[in-house]
Amino acid sequence: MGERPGIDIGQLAGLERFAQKALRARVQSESSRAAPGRLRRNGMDYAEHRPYGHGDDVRRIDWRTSQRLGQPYVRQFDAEANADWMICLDRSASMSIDESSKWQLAVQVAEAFAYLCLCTGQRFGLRVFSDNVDSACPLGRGHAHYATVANLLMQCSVQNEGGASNIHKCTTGLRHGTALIIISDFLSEAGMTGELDYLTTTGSSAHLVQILSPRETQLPQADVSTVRDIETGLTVNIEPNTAETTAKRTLQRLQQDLADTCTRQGINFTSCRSDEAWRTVVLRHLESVLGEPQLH
Amino acid sequence: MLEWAYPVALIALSLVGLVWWLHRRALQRDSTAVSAAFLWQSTEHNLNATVQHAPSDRIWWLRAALLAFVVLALAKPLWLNHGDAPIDVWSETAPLARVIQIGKLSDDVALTTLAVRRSPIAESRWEGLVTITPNGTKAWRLPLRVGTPELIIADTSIDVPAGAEVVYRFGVPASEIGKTFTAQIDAKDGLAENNQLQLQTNTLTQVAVHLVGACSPYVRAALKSHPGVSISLTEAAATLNLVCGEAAAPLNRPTLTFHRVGSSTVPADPLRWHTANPSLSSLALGSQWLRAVAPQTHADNSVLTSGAATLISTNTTSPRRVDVWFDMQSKPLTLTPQYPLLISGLIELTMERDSLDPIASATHSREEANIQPTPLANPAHESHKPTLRGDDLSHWFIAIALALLFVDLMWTLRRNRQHG
Repeated sequence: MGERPGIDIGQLAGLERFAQKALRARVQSESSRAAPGRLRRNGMDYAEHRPYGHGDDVRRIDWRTSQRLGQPYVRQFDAEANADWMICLDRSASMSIDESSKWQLAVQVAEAFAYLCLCTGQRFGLRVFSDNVDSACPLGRGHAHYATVANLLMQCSVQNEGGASNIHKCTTGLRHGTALIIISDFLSEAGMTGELDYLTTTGSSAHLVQILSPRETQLPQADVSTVRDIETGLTVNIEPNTAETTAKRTLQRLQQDLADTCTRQGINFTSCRSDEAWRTVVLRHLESVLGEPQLH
Repeated sequence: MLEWAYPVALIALSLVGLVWWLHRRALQRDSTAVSAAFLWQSTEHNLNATVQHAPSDRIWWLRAALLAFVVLALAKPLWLNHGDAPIDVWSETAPLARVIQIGKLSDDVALTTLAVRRSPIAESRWEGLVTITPNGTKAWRLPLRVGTPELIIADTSIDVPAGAEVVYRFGVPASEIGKTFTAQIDAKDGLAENNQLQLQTNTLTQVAVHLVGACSPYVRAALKSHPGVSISLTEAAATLNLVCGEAAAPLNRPTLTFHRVGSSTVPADPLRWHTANPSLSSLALGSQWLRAVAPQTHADNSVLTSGAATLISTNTTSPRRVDVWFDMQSKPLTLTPQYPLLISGLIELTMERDSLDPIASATHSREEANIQPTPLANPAHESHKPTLRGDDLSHWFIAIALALLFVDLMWTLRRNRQHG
């Protein structure tokens, strides 16, 4: 595994303002669940009106709007900037393919997101996972906390064999509403559907960054007849002439399914190659969050 | 039947599983690692047909068998013949923990001493004694008989208390001196061999000296005054030759020779005895009394020396010969009080027995009469390694292992050639 280049903090400077907008949590706070006074003290901003529904607190009814529109409407509020972000980094053996280029980029992206959270005043933490959470840094804010997260990223390493990308473990113990940034290759035969459904039930916003290697579907030699799953150890007899084509096709289908699932679930999804620069990946993801290109 | 000299070595057969595991690990190394195997599965094929464990390489059977035969050879298989091994193995491996003694200790009483000597009180009388030693806790009342072939000297009963040694004394007629004495007790004891003693008393008789040559009156007087010596009138009855001068004497008996000396000189160096005979070694003999030391012409043992000159010598063969190389028949030696003691000591040296107060005795060792059993070693503390005997088959197993190794090498070379 080659030397892992660190991120250039200077390059992040331009993204800071951009990240302010992109990383602010947009947790929909139902007005029926909290008293207005408390909401004000917590600094909740007005977001919009919606029709009164069964169970809503009658004190939330905006009488003026209701009189104007002829039916009862309640106010909805947005939380202020302070939200929690948990960066989840996959260290299973599949991330070590292609001389660990996937892992190196994943670490850089994780460090970049951590710095962006620092700049935006967010609370952030880190969980490095495979079958279980192997390393973790709890939520915190400030430069000292960022240094802790950066050190943890420097110390942890990818697995050479075994492991599995168990995303469920990343959400264990997290407070309702914590946003997740999951950096992985998301290579699952089932297509991650179940895991993503589970994420949405936690009430958090999720950001998926998929990193794949250009050699994911390439054979090192032409006469290879057996491939072995680096995580499970299962071996597959292949037809050398058509194996790469089959693999490419399967991977494309997998990517498309994942993107569709994320779109359906309202999950921000970005796919990149391991030979791309980390800044490009981070920028692309932020653009996808905001829905428009901001910086080049 | 097949037996193993070192059955513990068979535990190593479990390594056969290790061979299989290592072989599969090697197979895995030969395959290409990918991030996800399902990407490479063909949708046109049945998943169960393509996703599988790698086929087992038959070569692992060969290597496992090779290892097994090596382990079996190390365990040293033995083919035992019927009828020998079972008993041997049983007897050698039976867990003997204790040997139990049966029977009781048997008491014993022994005649440990039979002795005869001249009475120190009356010169003409002789005395004898027997010592009876009991072993064990039993008291005895024993009939005792002592006698010669011609005469029963003592016939009595002796009370022997338990643990106490008893000495019985008896008078011996002078006529019986020189004969074989036998002492016997009649006891029903554990050891009958020590109930009898025999004693030769011929050493108690006077030394009959046969004078050869012209012996001086001093010599004759010293002999006559000796209570243990008599001058034999006939040569046949003599037991000792005493030669005065260089005359020839019969060689069939001990001979004491007083050599004639050629010159008259006094030994210059102090005299020194080289004998254990107490009559001589303690005799204070002055060199100024001696005259005319003759030159040595033989290499016998020195008894008396003056510097490098040998004054009295003996031989080392039988019959004994003692040679005196100074003048024994002239003054001043003949006038000294040591002169008769010197002659008496020379006679004892020649006869190799006490001449003045001889004691004849025969004994049985007290330790030999002890028949108490010796303690046995505790067999439980002794480690005994059983040894199996049989036909060693290990060389056959080694030969098979070598053959399998050869096949493996050939197979590996062929495979490597096929793969370039």
